[in-house]
Amino acid sequence: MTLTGWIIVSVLSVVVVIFGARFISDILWNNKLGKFHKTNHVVVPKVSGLYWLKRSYGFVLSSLLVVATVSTGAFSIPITMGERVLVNAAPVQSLSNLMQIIDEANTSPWWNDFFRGDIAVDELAPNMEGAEDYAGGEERDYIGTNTQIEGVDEADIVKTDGYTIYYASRFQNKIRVIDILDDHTAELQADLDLGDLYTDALYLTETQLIVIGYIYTVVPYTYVEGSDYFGWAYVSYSGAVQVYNRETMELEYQLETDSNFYEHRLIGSSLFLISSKSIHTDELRPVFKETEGEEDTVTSYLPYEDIYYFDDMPIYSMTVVTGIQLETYEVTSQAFLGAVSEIFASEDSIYTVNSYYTYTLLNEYRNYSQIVKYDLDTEHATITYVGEARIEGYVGDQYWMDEFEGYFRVVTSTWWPTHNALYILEEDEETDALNIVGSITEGLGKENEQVKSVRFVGNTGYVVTFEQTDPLYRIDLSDPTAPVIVSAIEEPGYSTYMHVWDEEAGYVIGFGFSADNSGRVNGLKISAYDTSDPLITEPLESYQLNGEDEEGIYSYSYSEASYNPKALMVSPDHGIIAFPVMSYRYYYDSEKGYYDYSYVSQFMVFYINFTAEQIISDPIIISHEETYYYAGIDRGVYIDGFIYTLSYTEMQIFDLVNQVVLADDAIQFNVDQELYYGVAYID
Amino acid sequence: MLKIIWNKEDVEKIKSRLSSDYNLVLTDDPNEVPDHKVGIILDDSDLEKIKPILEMLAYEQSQIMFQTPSGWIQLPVTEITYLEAFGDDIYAHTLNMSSQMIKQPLYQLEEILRPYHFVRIGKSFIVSISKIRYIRTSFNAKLDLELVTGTHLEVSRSFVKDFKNALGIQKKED
Repeated sequence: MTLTGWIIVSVLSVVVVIFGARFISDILWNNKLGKFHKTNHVVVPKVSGLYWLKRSYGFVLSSLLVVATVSTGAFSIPITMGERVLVNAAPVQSLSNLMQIIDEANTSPWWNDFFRGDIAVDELAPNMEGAEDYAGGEERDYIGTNTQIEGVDEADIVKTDGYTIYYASRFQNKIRVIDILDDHTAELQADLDLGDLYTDALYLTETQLIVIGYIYTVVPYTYVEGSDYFGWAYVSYSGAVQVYNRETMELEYQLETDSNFYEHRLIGSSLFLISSKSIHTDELRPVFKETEGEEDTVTSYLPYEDIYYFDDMPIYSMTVVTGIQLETYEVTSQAFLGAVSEIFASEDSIYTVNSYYTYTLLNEYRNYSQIVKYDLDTEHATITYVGEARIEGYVGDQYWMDEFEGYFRVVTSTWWPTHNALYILEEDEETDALNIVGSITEGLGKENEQVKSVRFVGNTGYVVTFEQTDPLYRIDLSDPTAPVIVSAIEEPGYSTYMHVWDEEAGYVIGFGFSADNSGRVNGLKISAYDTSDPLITEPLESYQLNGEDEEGIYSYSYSEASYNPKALMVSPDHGIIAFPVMSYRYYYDSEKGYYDYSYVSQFMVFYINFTAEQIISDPIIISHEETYYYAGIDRGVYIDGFIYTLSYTEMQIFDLVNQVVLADDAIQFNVDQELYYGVAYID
Repeated sequence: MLKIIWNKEDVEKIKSRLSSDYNLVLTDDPNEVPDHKVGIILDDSDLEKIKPILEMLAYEQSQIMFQTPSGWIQLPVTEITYLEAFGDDIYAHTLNMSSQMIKQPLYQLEEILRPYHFVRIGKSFIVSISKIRYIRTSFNAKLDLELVTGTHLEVSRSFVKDFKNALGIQKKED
């Protein structure tokens, strides 16, 4: 408590004592008077209770004031983090406090019991990531993972530096290491066996291969002695980071936690991880088990002082933000009670979004998003909480957010009734709050149209909404306090991903679904837009993948890229956009004499040239052999004019210049396990 | 067994009192009581109970003669709420909010009225304890008395002790 607080409380206490003493002596005196009257049989009109109420005013009021002053913490010393006064977040300080906060937040927790602590939130949330990154190698020219922000690397199942391709094979805890030789043929190194670490996230630095995943152990059914039921069978996950030396492929460092690494970014040699920890475990503090080289494992716990909470938030899990310095292996961490649904990272900050819903007093459904900002120190890999804000609506994926010149821009959407909005926030200078400085709350989307995809580049935002036709809005954000919708382009269908091809010219490429006039989705499409001119209200060009091929065989196609932009290989510098497509074909086989089906996996490469007459070229199609649905092409990698397509079973090499598949140089992967419905089945 | 003989006109008064407060049987059996009289039948142990009631009834009926500038006046004690002195003039305030000037020194009146539970509460005030409805304590160790008529009187600091004695809070000897 502050000095002023102490003075006020002590003065109030003195007043309480005085009023209290007076009240008590009042009671005593009147008691005596009453006794006297009784012994002398004097009948006096009864004193009404109002007298006592009046007499106790001072005492009751002053006591209430003391209680209020102390309990509301009006004069408590402000908790600060750096120079910032915390008004929204507060440290939990102790285990008992932590448990109380969790209890209070979960007032209707019957269904919480359905969630085993080990099933973390990220298992339920779709994992949508991706974006744009062209990393020119020193000598070799390659297209890297499609990331959102240049300089902020995002993990993927395939990583390359132009010389080696690392590919985390699905269904197997193995990493394929493929060297690309000078003649552009490939050589398969020995697989890196990860043991029981499952991964779908790799990062590369110059010397290290970083694998982020989880170690899972199946806990079998157990009979609980004396009860009439069997215990749960469940899978226990623990998030793990493993760092391998790329030269020796030896494990240099391992960090294991009891939470699940859900999202992460690599900036320089600083790895930032957002993990989700269960609040149904015995140990509520996040645990870190670090092993460096051959040394012993060091276990540490995050102290309760570094676990923070926010008032009036649903608490289903704990979010742990961790930074690892990959040169020194120094780990720093902070934790917050509450879940995270999406994150956005720039080179300076990370924003986490927790989209949640509540019901108002009138039982109306409301969708909110809590946005929490952290400052990043990319040299020491430390994360510092900056502030939070809550806005209406949910945030669909990371592309709905962006940061530019200190301003955070976010698009939200709500159901029932549908309403879309764009907010621009700025951190408060003194407290841990993010203040809304500008917004667009009207005109984004027609009636019942929800936001499907968003892209921000510099001072411009692009928003696609959809119910029947797709308006693509271009928003001018050059004045953060007054964003304006500049133009709208309409076409059937909608984009799930937008790539700004030329910021100056306002050229945008959209990838998504085509639809008929009633809004029914009927296939994949690529569209080219010119957003610079408000008078242009239609796309310049669209390419639609047909549902029926030249031989009249009906098929339908789907692509991982429609929900995971990292499956897109995209580079405006190369004028290329490419993605894997899996087609299901159903046809009459005249030889067999019955209807049959097959899966065809293809990698489609489009050249984009906004100055040419045909902006979107006809696709170059790289086909893998007819295959199982789970063994389709995962990714394509472009290195020096060659495209390497990777699937569960093989890697094909395609010469983009001569447009031929170098079938002789293809690599068959060692598939030592039989797959049964996409799950590794071990005898 | 003890018999009390009482005037018939007081029966209604005492009847309600006895039945509500003391659960005593009131009989009007002519065999037990002479004509035009009623009797109360009570145990010996009830004698102590009945005594103050009888005293009270006596007190309620008592009238005191006071000297006024224009002669003598008879006032029922139960009517007087408090006495107030203005120099040599004393005013007796009554339940119906009227006042009567009395030409008698205050100390004399104090003596006369003491058996009727009157107490001196200040240099110029004498109050009937039976007419106090509520006592307020205040920060300066004084007391504020609210009478049944709504009048407020103050017990000065030096008379608080006397007031306590009169209420029976403090023992007489100190």
